[in-house]
Amino acid sequence: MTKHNLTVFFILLLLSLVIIFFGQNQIILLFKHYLSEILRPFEIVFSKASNWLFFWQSVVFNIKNIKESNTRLISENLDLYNKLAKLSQLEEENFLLRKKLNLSQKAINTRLASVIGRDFQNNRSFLIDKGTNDGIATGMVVISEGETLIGRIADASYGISKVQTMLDTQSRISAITATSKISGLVRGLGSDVIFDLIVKDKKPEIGELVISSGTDGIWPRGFIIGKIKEVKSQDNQVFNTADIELLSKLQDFDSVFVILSSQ
Amino acid sequence: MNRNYRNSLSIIGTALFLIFLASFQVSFINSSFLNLNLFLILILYLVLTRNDSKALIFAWLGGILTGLNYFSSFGTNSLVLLILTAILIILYKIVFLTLKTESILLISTIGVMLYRFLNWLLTNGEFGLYFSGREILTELISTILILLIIFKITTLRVTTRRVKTQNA
Repeated sequence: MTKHNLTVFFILLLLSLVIIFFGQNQIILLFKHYLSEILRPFEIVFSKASNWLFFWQSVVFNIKNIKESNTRLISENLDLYNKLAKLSQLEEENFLLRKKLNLSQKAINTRLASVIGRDFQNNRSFLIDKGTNDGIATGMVVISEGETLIGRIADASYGISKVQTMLDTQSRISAITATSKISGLVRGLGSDVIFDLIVKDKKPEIGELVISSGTDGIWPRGFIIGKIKEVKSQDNQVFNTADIELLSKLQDFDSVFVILSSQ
Repeated sequence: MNRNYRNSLSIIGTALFLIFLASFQVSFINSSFLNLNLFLILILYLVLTRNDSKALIFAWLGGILTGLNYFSSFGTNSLVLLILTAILIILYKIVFLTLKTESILLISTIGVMLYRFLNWLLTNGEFGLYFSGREILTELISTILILLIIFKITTLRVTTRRVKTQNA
């Protein structure tokens, strides 16, 4: 490298290190904020274009799959109708009992946000078009339409926020299985999630739903994480683990809900 | 045209181009099945055409812009791209002396592998996540293909221009 290139390299290297080590400094935060604001309109346009294009692309290429899944969904739908009828009876009963015990209903205040940007080649983080001006703050929980956990707000700017999904390696959620009530810890592996720290003598059933238990005080209770795909038990391991299948791919979400407050 | 006027126009143009490229990468390419890193292709192109200082600056700026939506701390992506560019510049000057199809092929392969390796090294990631699966293969093939197409077009342009001037 020439002397000029070396100088350029070291100046830029120094700048990168300053940005990394003083990431919480007001000047760097302001720089980040303005940069996000400049990129935002372009990102909205491109995300809308990509949503439209990839929707039609998937329609064209997945006609066979759509037909097959439609047949499967019809039979599932009939089964769900049956369960729904029983559930509405239970809900009514639950409402009456709550009234009798003076318990308040679970109410969550959410804000709808559109996904406008994604991380390169993985789903560990994505950008949404709502920020601090919409009441979004760092640490807030992000869910999907079906009340499935997606992640948390890692960084909130004025009109844009970064969501760290539960696939991220830093993500830890205390969870419990829906029917067998086996507790454990859901960990992000980068491209998947795993249900870890399951007591050795307990094995959750395959297909069983895993929901957040709320015992960690960070993630709210009662939100679906996924279902058990495979249970792994090894003699030399202290705990059992289980692979979790997410109910829908994080890549498929165009819009999400941010929980502003829950009672 | 006034030189200052031209300079400011080129700066605005470059800034707009970078913003466009970063938004397209974050909001379009990353949401799709396409495994492409446009900034990596840009850096490889600049290194191969010996625009070293431009490659360093574009790498840093590209890293900053795409780093806004990076799972690791802000600035890591620009550090990764900057180190990668420096290594590629040194490597190109030592190993590859002429711009041939083989050198495009090799430098692209090294670029993609090195980018993933540096990402794995500097971020909290699992080795298998960066080096297994079809993603790395498709990224490799598409990067090489795009670079070959770009160089084919540019050489074709130069040749037609030369023929035209010779005929004139």
